[in-house]
Amino acid sequence: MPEPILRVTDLKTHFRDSRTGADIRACDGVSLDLNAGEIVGLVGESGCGKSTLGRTIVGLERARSGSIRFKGQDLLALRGKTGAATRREIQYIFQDPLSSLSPRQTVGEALDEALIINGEGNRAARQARVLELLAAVSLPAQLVHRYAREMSGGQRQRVCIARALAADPKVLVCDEPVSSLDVSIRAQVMNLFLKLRDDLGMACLLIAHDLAIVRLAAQRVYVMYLGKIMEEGQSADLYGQPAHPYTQALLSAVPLTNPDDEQARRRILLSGDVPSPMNPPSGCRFRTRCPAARAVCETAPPMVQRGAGHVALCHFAADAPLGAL
Amino acid sequence: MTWLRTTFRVVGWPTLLLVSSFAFIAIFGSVISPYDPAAQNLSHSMQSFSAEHWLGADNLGRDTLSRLIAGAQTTLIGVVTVLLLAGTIGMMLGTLAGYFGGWLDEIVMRFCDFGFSVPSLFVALAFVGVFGPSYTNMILALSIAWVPIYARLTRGVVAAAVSQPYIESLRVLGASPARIIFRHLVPVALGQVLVYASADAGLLALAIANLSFLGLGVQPPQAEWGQMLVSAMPYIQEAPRLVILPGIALTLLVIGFNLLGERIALAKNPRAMSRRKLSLRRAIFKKEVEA
Repeated sequence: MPEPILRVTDLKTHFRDSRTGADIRACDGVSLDLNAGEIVGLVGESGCGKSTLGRTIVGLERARSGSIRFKGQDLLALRGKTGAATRREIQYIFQDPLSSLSPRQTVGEALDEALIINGEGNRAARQARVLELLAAVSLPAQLVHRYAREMSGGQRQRVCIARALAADPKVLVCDEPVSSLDVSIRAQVMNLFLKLRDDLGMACLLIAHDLAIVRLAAQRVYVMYLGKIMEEGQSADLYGQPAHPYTQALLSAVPLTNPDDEQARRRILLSGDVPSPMNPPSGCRFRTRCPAARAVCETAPPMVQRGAGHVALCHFAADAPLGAL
Repeated sequence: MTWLRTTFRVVGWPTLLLVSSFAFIAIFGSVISPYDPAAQNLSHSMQSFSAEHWLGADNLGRDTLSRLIAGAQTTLIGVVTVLLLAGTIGMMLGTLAGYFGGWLDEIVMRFCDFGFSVPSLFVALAFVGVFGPSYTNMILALSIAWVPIYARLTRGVVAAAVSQPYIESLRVLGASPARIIFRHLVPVALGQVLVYASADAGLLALAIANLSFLGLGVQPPQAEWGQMLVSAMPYIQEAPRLVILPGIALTLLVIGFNLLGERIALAKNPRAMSRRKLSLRRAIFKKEVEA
């Protein structure tokens, strides 16, 4: 197994609550690997810290501790011009493509600016590259003169992807890249990510709450809850034999297309709200809402190996019934 | 010429006529003015409306029309200079505070709080009190007093824009702070500042007249409306026109600037309606409900 292109180890990103001064532990000791040419899913409820993790990786938030190793270098220790050049190889795709494009720039201008920032000095070369970038995301060249508001949601998101590609990234962090798009457009944009992976060998961290989208694209999946990774595994293992009660609950909330199956299956309804990340529960973070919680859950759970690359942060992960769903 | 048509539609012809005629008078004042505004002719002292002096002459026999024209020049040059100075410095401070945040933001905003807690006119008064009354000192004083307004306005706009994904994606792309500030944040802030400044100009014209009226601004023999008012005070019984005419000029200019500002603000953001219009609307709505 080669060294992963991006390795996040025990990353902590905390925010300070301005009123109480308490730490909001948005991301509280997360470890995650991303191999070259791999699409990895990161799923969880809103507020579980998955966006914070993505934003910390690209440097939009400051990490409290831990390390982010990219191509063998620690991103958190990098400074200055070379640091910026390295960091540029990880790009970010936002959820809302309209607000991630400047309202006063045309598509051509936005892509041109991204190329200038990336150090391309020659005007003619930039113009040619802009057309290449548009072609790479399957957009017609006529769109160069359009403003963001004059395009459809899918076109806007493609422009955002093209702009990210201007920096020649090795890793794309995509924060809910399709959740603001029409269902009919989602598959197109997801296929674009698959194509980029196949053509350019790009690695992609796909942050989403839509489990079906992640299942479609990701080879491996991480499940996050309240700032911690609860379960990780190959997509097939995790969806087929979820080991963590939280993953099981998440999966049981996905509607099935066959109404008979839908009638027959057992749904796990979680009660209560996600606890405050300012004061997370001791021991297992999920124990306050877990249907299987017992006294032992008040102690920190171990990472239990379930299969090849399939681990879950639960006391009972080893003896959870296989194929419970 | 579309921009001209757009301006016309947004601002409307009465406002445009009012403001542009003042601008015309200020720019071509020395050409159209019939007399030297400072030239005394004691034989024409206190002359009323006449063919020689259309708007009469004051106690020293100086032509009132020429002095009104020169006053427009003095006022408008003052207003424009203060807006340029205060706008530039305020925008610089506000942009830095909004972009970098942290302690810089704290310092700039506390400075602004101080500026807001003391009325602008008092700040200007204190400055002139220390450095002595003159046209230049008045302009400097007003600029200092007006900086916090523009710093706070810009800071608000910039701080809101900084957390927009399009600015964040520029940061992820590796854009330098200078590029983000000058290419993206300043243009956004400039729009807001221009809208505010067009409404603010009226207030500034009043402040200039105020200071000059108190003898802290423009010094005689330079003509200025507030200064004309105060020097005509002793003759208010004998020749009320000497007080009324500069007053009318000042009122028209302030009305012009206020209308301009209101129209532009309304065109940019229809919800930002003046309280007057809102209460009018509420009254109509109430009537409809009762009916």
